[in-house]
Amino acid sequence: MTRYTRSTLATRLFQKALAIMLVLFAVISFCNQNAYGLEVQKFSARPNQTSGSTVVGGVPTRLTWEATTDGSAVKEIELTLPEGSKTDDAKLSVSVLDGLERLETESNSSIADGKANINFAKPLEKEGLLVRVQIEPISLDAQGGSYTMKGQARLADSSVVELNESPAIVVEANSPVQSIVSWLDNQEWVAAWNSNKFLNTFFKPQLIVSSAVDLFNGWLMALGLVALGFPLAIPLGLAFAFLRMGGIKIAKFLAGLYINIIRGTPLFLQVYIAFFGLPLLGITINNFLLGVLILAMNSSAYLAEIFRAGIQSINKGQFEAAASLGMNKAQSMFYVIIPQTIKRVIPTMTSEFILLYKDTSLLSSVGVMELMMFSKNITATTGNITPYIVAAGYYLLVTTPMIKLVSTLERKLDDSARPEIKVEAETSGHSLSAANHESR
Amino acid sequence: MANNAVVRIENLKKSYGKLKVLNGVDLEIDKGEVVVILGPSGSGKSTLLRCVNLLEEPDSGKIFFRDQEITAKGVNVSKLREHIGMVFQHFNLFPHLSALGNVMLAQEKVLKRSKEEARQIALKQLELVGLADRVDHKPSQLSGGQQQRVAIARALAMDPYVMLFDEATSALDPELVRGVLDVMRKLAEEGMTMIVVTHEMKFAREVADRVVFMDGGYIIEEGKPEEVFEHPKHERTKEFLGNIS
Ligand SMILES: Nc1ncnc2c1ncn2[C@@H]1O[C@H](COP(=O)(O)OP(=O)(O)O)[C@@H](O)[C@H]1O
Ligand SMILES: [Mg+2]
Repeated sequence: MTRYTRSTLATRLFQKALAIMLVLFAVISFCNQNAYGLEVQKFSARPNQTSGSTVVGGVPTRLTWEATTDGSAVKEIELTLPEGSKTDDAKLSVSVLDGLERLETESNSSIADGKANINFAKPLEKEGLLVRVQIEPISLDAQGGSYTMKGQARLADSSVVELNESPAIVVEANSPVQSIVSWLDNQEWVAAWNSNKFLNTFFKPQLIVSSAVDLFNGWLMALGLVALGFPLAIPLGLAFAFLRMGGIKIAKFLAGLYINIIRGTPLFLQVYIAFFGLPLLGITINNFLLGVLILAMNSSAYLAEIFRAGIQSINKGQFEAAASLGMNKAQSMFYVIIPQTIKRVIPTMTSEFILLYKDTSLLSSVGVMELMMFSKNITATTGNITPYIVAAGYYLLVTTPMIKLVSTLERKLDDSARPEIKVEAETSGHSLSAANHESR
Repeated sequence: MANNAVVRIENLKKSYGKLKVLNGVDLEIDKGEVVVILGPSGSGKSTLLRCVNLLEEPDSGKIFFRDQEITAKGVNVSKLREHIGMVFQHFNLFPHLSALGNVMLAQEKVLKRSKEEARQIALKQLELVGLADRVDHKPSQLSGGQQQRVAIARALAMDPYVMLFDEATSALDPELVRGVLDVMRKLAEEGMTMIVVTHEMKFAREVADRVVFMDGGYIIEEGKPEEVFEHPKHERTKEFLGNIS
């Protein structure tokens, strides 16, 4: 009995509450309908950079604003443009769509004092019409930021309703580079240049400028990789060279094995093994550090052979002279052989440095953000090869002077070695060329 | 065992693979003695000399240096070589060091002399070989004769008990030979113990206390220079001396 009473009471209360809520909802939605007049749907700005999809301030773009009618008769729309907009030559166009059909509507529009005004000859009465307003060219604030468009609508009965705020658009600040790019965008010779398919695909001026900036960090990364990897490879290479030439059989064998495996397999493969293998073992190392390590390990094998060939290219007589003076093996190495070897191996070492620097590009395949990675990304979004050409430029920036240095060093070495060669007729038959690289 | 010998070689044998280079050599060099080794090319002269400071390891036989058997096991080879000077046919100067640097290096690193002491000794030795004005030259800036004199100074700076010369003038242009021979002659006169392999017959005749003639890995004949040169006993010696002069 009690239970029954309680349950009917609850049902009644629930029904009452539902009724009240429905009424309230109806009232609220009715009021809302009256209050809006137009429902703002969209606000966007056209990307105004040749690369990527960004909108940059201070550079002409096109704003698009869209709203749908709710059945109240809209006579006039006044939009407050984003603060700081420049509208000097701006034209405003209005179109009204009923579904897919474009309606002929007459309107007066004007842009002044940061406001755009559209006055319809006949109020828009039908519900669900799409009003699209486009303003072009308009430059948004050069400082960049997040902007919305606010506005008011005046209805046929002269009542004014505030429109809901549009979605925001993000505007990037106009950097010097971007202003150069926009300047280039407007140059006739650039347009003429870009009308040639080859030039446009490989040497697009705007992309040369923007990629040069975008790739800079990748270049620093590549330099960082080689600047840490190479110095690390030198002591490693020396150690392997000594182990390989030394008297301990097992060390000799292991060093030889290491050198042959590293030199006998592609660096690309070594990168994959390390980058995909270590995580599987639960070992996670920072990408950059792992990259440095792989490069150092790879290069150390090549350097070991360069050092070995360098040491063996030193005349046997030098070892004998040092020994005959009572120097032990370490002293002979340290004070007599190595100082001579350094001079001889520096050109080959420099070549090895150049190779290693170029090989940093292989790390792009495993997500190290170096030159190739950046250029690949830009090319993917722009469909243009120019970023790769710019990357080539960054590589050449380092390799060209170094290649020159190598040939200068080699010439110097030849000059200084000549008198030695004359007297040291009994050379041991080894030469540095033994360590010259086969292509990797 | 104590006697006057600085170097004593007993029944020394050495071969390279099947090639028998030394077939049982006995030789004793006394303190202050100058022994010149003559013989045709390939007779084993260099090998014999290089066994004395263990640049080559003998197969059998014994070598004593100042009564220490250096062919015994456990000999500190580097230590032994400190005081055995050697001069090579091709000089083997250290090309990255100046003349002075060449003469200083082992003094500092091996004998642990101070830089200043090594420098003073090096300057003195270079002056004695007539190169006081060339101390800062690199080997590549010196003539062959000058280089060889630097090499001699380098060995002398180590205060050697014996000096080994292996065809010290053979690689030199004829006009440069004399300078080097003069240095060697002076050294001999000062009482240095020397073993000299050379083809300079005049030097052998005038400077040697004893001449040793080698052929095919054997010492065939030895004696005072006037004996060997004027009255060679062996056919091979006669032949060799006849060919030379
Ligand atoms: N390291 C070596 N390996 C093989 N054969 C050698 C070596 N050194 C010297 N020989 C050979 O030993 C022989 C004697 O050489 P060497 O002592 O230099 O003679 P010499 O100095 O009297 O001309 C020669 O036939 C030479 O070719
Ligand atoms: Mg010889």
